[in-house]
Amino acid sequence: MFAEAHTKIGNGITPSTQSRIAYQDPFVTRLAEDIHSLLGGEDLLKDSILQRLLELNCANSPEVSAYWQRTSHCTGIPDTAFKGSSIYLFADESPVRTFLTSGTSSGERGTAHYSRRGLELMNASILANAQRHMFGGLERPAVIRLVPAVETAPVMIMAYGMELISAAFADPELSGSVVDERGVDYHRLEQLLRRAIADSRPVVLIGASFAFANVSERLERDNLRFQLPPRSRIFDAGGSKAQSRVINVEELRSKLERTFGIPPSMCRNLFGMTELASQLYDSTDVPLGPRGERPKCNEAFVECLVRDPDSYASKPRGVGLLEIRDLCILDRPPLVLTGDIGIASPEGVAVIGRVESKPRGCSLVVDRWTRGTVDA
Amino acid sequence: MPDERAISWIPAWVDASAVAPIKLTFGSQFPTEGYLGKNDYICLQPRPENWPHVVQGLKAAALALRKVPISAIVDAIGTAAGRWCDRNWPRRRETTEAIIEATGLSREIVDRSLDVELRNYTAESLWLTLRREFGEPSVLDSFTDDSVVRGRARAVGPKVVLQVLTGNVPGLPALAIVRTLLVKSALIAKVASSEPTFAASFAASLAEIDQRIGDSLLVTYWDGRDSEMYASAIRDVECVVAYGDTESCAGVRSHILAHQRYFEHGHKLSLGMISARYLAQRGVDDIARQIAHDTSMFNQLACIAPQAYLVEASADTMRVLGSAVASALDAYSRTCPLGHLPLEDAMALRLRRCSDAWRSSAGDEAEMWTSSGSGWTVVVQPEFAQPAGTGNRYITLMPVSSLGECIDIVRPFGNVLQNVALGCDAGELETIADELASLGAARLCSPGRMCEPSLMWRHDGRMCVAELVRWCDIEMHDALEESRPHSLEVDILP
Repeated sequence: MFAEAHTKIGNGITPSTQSRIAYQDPFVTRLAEDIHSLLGGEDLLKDSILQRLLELNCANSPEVSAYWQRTSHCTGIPDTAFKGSSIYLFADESPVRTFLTSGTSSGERGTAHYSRRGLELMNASILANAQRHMFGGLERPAVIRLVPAVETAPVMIMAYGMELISAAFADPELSGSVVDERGVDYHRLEQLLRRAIADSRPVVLIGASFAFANVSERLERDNLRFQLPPRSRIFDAGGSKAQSRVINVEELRSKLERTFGIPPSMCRNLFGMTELASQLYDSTDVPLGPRGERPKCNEAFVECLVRDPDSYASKPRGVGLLEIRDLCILDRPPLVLTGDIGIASPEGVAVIGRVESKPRGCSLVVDRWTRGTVDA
Repeated sequence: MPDERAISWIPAWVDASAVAPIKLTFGSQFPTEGYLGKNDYICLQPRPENWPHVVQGLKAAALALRKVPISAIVDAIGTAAGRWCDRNWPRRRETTEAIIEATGLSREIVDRSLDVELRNYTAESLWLTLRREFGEPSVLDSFTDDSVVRGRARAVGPKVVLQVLTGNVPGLPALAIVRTLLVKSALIAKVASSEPTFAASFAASLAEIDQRIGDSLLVTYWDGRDSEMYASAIRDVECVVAYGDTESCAGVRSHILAHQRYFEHGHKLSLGMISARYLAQRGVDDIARQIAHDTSMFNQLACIAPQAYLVEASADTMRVLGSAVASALDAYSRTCPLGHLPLEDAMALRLRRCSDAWRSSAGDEAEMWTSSGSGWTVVVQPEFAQPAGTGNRYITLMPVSSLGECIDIVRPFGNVLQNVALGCDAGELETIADELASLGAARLCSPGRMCEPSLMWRHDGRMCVAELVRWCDIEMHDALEESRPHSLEVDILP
């Protein structure tokens, strides 16, 4: 676990008086290098990295600094902060890449900007995590992506991350995306699956959870079933927004077993969102959430915390607000209050759905009340 | 608490075999130590195949109730209300405990809510309500001379009314029960899982006073998603009234049959407006106390509670007012705390605070004050943006340049506008009241009085007792013409 951030921030850092830290400042150079080292396994650096990331944010973003002062401790930045003009810490360095959220939770799309160094860190995090959790015991498998190619969806972070993973670990001849702007290309999917089976090459299927549910239902309707080679596996990315369609983990996995011949024990979920640079993978195959959600595996560079809504204390067990500490985010605050509900356990944190601001009784929820936005 | 609390009231004439005892567990989706847990209840529920028999029995009870003079019904309700207004009455004490267990509300907020709700049902208040809605309450007993039409009028309530209750305000189910009894109808009340205990206890208290009333009431529960139960319960009733959120009301509406009358009390928006003149006259501290009172009553979960106050003031004055409202809310919470929030609500509140804190950090005009726990929150911001509506003493103060601007801001919400506190002088009231009435507001009052609507108030802008009845007029009848004293005749024809 990380040391509590608010005790650190009170220890010598005065957020409002920090002068801006330039992108080329050695402080940033060193920080980025240390994060790379952390990704390489040097765990001892993590408290220092968190401390320096907080310092960088306080120095370069008056909004973040004011927010942390206002909330009394380093509370995660709410996901609503990413709507509209999002936070980006380096005014002296243009972003090299911007990703957009789907906007499904509020209708307004959020943005996440990346500097060159920030993007390099995100790439490194994605690949380190994928190597650790996805490709154990596999040599150049077929990687079939149920997400669009980057060319088709250049601002979708899931498309970017999965293409990056595929480029690093997959056999390009046997791999590819089977989704385009028209939807799933079932012909191409079948072609890739049959080729991998013919080649006896293990397949790694990756994509959004709801996409897997849709694809398996469609293939079942078409009476198409596959027995993929041994050691094939499935990784569904069920971020919070993807969970808008309620999917029971066991149900999904048995569908996938029927369709692809991949046993449930070879299926894993990963949690990611546009606002983060790192993803969190299932740590064990033991159900923890009400729909069978598995606990996520904390890494030195990314960790789930469950916050008590009253005290904001970190809870070792039980239900609360999900906060992610992602030390691979260089361009924005590393602490994100995702708007999800988490269950903490010794095995990790399971993400079990969105916090809903549901009114009780007859008091109205006003979703948006701004001057002159609606005509009577 | 007892192992299982009873949440149903089944009239004595119902055969025991017609109902099934159902064990229910309600409570937070996430029962956690330190928060609300799960509570076990026992509910007698008519078996689906027995609903026709039960409704038939209720119709017979209603016919018997029609023979009871309205004065006797008013007296019985008034007597029961008098008992309920005594905080030390054993039934009230026991029900208060049950409500606290079910909702997590603090004892004082439950007591204050019950005080405010139940004092509305004194005999005097009931008579005033009947006079306001019916003119002459004796129309509920027999044909009565009509003061306008040359003839007589009689008001007849439905034999059976189904009321789908909500659990947001302790004691509120009494309103649905009383309205039904005032038109001498029998009642099926479906309680809410969020507070299932009060209605049955209130029914029992009425039965203790008049068995004929007890025979006309049936209080039970079924899951709102149970279409079979809905279809069975609803089939033979003449009138349905639903309280609740948009989703709940839509669910009830989907079961309504063509011949049935249906009334809904759905989501509403209430707020306050303060003019610069009123602010100058009353002073910041006085107004802050009024705002805090309106925000704290019923933990801001009632449709009449303000979600925001729009204030004609500068940014500097708003900061002073915000701070004063924070102090007033804090003072209020010392004697009447919020209580324990269900974890779902606490999480929504924390997220809303974080979103508002972020907005405040990004804008010069925004400010925020919070209690150390979830107790209360004050936000000053130039716009009232999402997410909102968490209730639980979370008030947004918004500066405006004039009362006219308030109207512009509220205009998009005219169709859901309910209760508006108007802090203004007589001249301003004359101007703005008409505009608010035109927009859709159903009640205007002074700041600090938002949560004290009288029973006479036309809830949702409607006459909620009178709308239940069917009228029968005798007019153009020779016999009546002969017996009618000439002096009472009023000819409305040109």
